[in-house]
Amino acid sequence: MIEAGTQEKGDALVIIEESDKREVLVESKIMAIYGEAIRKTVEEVTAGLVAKITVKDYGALDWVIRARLEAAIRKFKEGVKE
Amino acid sequence: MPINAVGREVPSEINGQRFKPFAGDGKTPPEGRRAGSLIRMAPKGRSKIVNSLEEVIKKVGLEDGMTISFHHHLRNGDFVVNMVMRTIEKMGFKNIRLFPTALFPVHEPLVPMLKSGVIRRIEGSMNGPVGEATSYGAMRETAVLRSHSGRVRAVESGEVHIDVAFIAAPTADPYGNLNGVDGPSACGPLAYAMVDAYHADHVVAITDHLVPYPAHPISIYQQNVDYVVPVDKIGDPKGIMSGTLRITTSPSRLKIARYALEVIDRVALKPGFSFQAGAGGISLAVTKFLGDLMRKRGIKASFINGGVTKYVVDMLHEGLVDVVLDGQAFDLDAVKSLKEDANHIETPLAMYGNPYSSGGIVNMLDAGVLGATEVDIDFNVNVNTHSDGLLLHGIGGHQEVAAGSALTIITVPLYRYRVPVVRERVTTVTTPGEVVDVVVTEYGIAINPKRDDIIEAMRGSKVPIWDIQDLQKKAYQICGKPEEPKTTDDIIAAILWRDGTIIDVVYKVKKS
Repeated sequence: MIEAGTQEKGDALVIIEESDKREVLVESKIMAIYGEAIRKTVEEVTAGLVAKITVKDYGALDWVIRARLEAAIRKFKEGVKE
Repeated sequence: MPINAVGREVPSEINGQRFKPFAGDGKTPPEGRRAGSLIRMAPKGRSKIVNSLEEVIKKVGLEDGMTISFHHHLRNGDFVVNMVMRTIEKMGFKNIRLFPTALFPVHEPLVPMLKSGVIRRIEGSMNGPVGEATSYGAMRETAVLRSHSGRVRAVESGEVHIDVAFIAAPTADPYGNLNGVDGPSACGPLAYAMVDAYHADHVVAITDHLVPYPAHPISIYQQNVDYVVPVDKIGDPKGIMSGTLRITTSPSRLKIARYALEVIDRVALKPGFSFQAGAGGISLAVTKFLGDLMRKRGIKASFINGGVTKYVVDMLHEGLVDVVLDGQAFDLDAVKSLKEDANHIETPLAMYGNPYSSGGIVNMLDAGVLGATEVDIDFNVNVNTHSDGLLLHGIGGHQEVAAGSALTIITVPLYRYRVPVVRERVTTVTTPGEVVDVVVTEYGIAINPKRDDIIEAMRGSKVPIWDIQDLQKKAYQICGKPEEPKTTDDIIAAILWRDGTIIDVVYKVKKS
């Protein structure tokens, strides 16, 4: 399991765990007004990754979510290589 | 349902009472005569002390369905609302209409009383959990929100009749003279409670600081107070008084304050000018920077209307302002100054900005700086709901300051975290764009196109000037376009303009 990001307001925490099947969980304080946008970004950036992906959003801008996802994916892939 | 002057569809009846749609500020003339209270005669004797809440509730003859009121000078440190309501619940009363000036997170214990029917509805500001519960449908009837002055108007006009006013009194004598400047729960003025003391059928003071007759100074006078109930503690000083309020340290918020200062400087700053202060982080910064600028320029203000804080008191002591008018004190420096300084004056809320009166303080203001949860491209302002539709804040004095002040500035970040503050359409209209002059963000300012004089005054300024629609587009470009709040067709609250017309309604939010 790896993590990227923080639980600060305006940031997002991304957790990726090894799994046989792809599973995506998204939580956000602003789910009601940005839920679809956040899900779309998560699906797009993590496309093809077979793992359990959890995104806890604390009101992060889309760029921040993308950056945290990208960092998490790189960390996860490095970890797999080892 | 009729469409009002800000384009919102509003009902003509709330809880069986008729209300007119908002027609524009000053467009709905008053009618009738002022309402009165029950004429009482004090029994013989030199003390009005009653030793328990239960006993006093029996004495005033409380009945199911009656209206009871409270003030919020003790803010999030208040014990009195919960104490009285628990007693009322225990005594088995139902269907009470609660008419506080405002409720805070500390009043969360009222939520089960909404569900059980002890309280049928609340007419007042609901900051935090009570508002949130109401948004999800906890209240049996519809909430009604009024501004500070709108509440005074409602009482004076008879729109709301108070059966019993329960007044938290930081200092009281046994014959009912009250003040807020002394005692362990000192809060400063008792401005919010004055209209209740004059107009309620029965008035009960609740105190934790009983002093020999006569208490002094006197904010609420004995001839209006029927009973005095001593209790251990009326509040927690930590929740009543903020510590020394901190000026924002965020670079973007400080930029907003500097831009606002430049607008005030170019439009309103002159010897003898007047200013509305507040306690928000940006507002404090504006007050502080304004003091610095006045010192540099050798300009003195005639008065500051507060929202009084240490920063305002410092300006008074330094002689940068002649008089402080005080409806609410935020820190201990403000309380001490109210007690000691002759030119720091407690003002009843009836003097603040009631449009149906012979004139309020707000009519004498040159500049007012206000906050918002949202602003839209018509300059409409929302201070009540968040963008997800939840009702989480009261109106405060927002409407009257905006309507009265010669220059009304709204200071807001362009977006908070991911949520755009400058939007196509505010979730709820609290204050109409017609009384808003300048929106100030960290990206620059937008001036209401009908204020040619301000547009002219800002010519040559280094402050970026935007069309409000471009500011909104910028916000959406950064945040993405937000979805509409997930609400149902059920109206959970009516937002009244200060003249008692309906400016907007709040809908029930679906639980996700």
